[in-house]
Amino acid sequence: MKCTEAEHLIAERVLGFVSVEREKELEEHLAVCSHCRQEVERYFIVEDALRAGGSEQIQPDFADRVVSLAGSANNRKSFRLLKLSAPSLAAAAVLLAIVISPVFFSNDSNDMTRLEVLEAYAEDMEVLGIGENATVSDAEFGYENYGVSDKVSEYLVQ
Amino acid sequence: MGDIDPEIPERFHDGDLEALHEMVEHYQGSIFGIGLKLLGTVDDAKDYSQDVFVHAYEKRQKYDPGRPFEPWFYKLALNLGRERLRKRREIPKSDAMPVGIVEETAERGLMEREQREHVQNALQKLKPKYRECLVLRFESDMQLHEIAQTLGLSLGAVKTRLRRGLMAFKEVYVEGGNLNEMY
Repeated sequence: MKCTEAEHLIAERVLGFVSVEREKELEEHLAVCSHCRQEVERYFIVEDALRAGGSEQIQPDFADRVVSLAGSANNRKSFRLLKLSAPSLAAAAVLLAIVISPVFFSNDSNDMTRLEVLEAYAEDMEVLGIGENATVSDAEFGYENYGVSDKVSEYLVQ
Repeated sequence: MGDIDPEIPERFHDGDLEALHEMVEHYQGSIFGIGLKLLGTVDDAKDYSQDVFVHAYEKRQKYDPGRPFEPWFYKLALNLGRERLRKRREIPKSDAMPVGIVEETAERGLMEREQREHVQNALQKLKPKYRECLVLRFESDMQLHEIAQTLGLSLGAVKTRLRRGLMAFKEVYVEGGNLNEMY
């Protein structure tokens, strides 16, 4: 085994993915190569250096501060959403008011009797000057006169 | 670093701030270490760590609780690190490079600080793609398949990057070499 190949294997061993067979070959090489044995020592130093964290510098209340920041950021986001939706709500309210206003401001009433409706029509016809041409019949209204069967007519307005 | 309680990522996804607290306790050392090794200064690493957790909480809906948490979380952390490095390239280097002042007066503390700076300086000389692989392996103690999943790489590519990165780091850290030609 050449020293360059051995160094690849030393690095892979530090990284934890050298195979058992390859490691055996490496050990055989190390047994006869002082240069690569020194290389192994260098990689020990490298591994120690890379594993040293320095995380002792994190403040003890770090988690509390993060949670506080995340919580307030979350609230700000909700508030922003509320602010965005306020104009939409106002627009919807105005639209609704326009749609339902006839209910509150109309004089129309649905509780007129059939006779009152007919009288109202008669008045309108007189105002329009067509009352003379209209013929009045006392005959009782019935759907059967218009080809609607009795079975169906019981579900219709009488 | 042991495994996190499997319920925590799910509660985190639902917006539970206590779950976030437990997550911070569990991952803060690893994230700080990544920040320190990627960015090179204590102050930057502290800001970075805070940003990672707050950002993860804001983006929690994008995490699928049915999938492993760590690849999603570390990917987000690395993306933030890359973004900071990119921004740093856009500002004068003198503003970005000074090492944070740490309140260490004891001789041992100073020696440790010097060693940390030496490690960080050596890591800064590696290309980010090698640096990222090394910090995930040594700082987060991730397995190869987890690194592959986090970085979206094949297992072979991860092995190659790790090996090249480690050899390059050794070159700079121990030998004081210049990597401009190879890496």
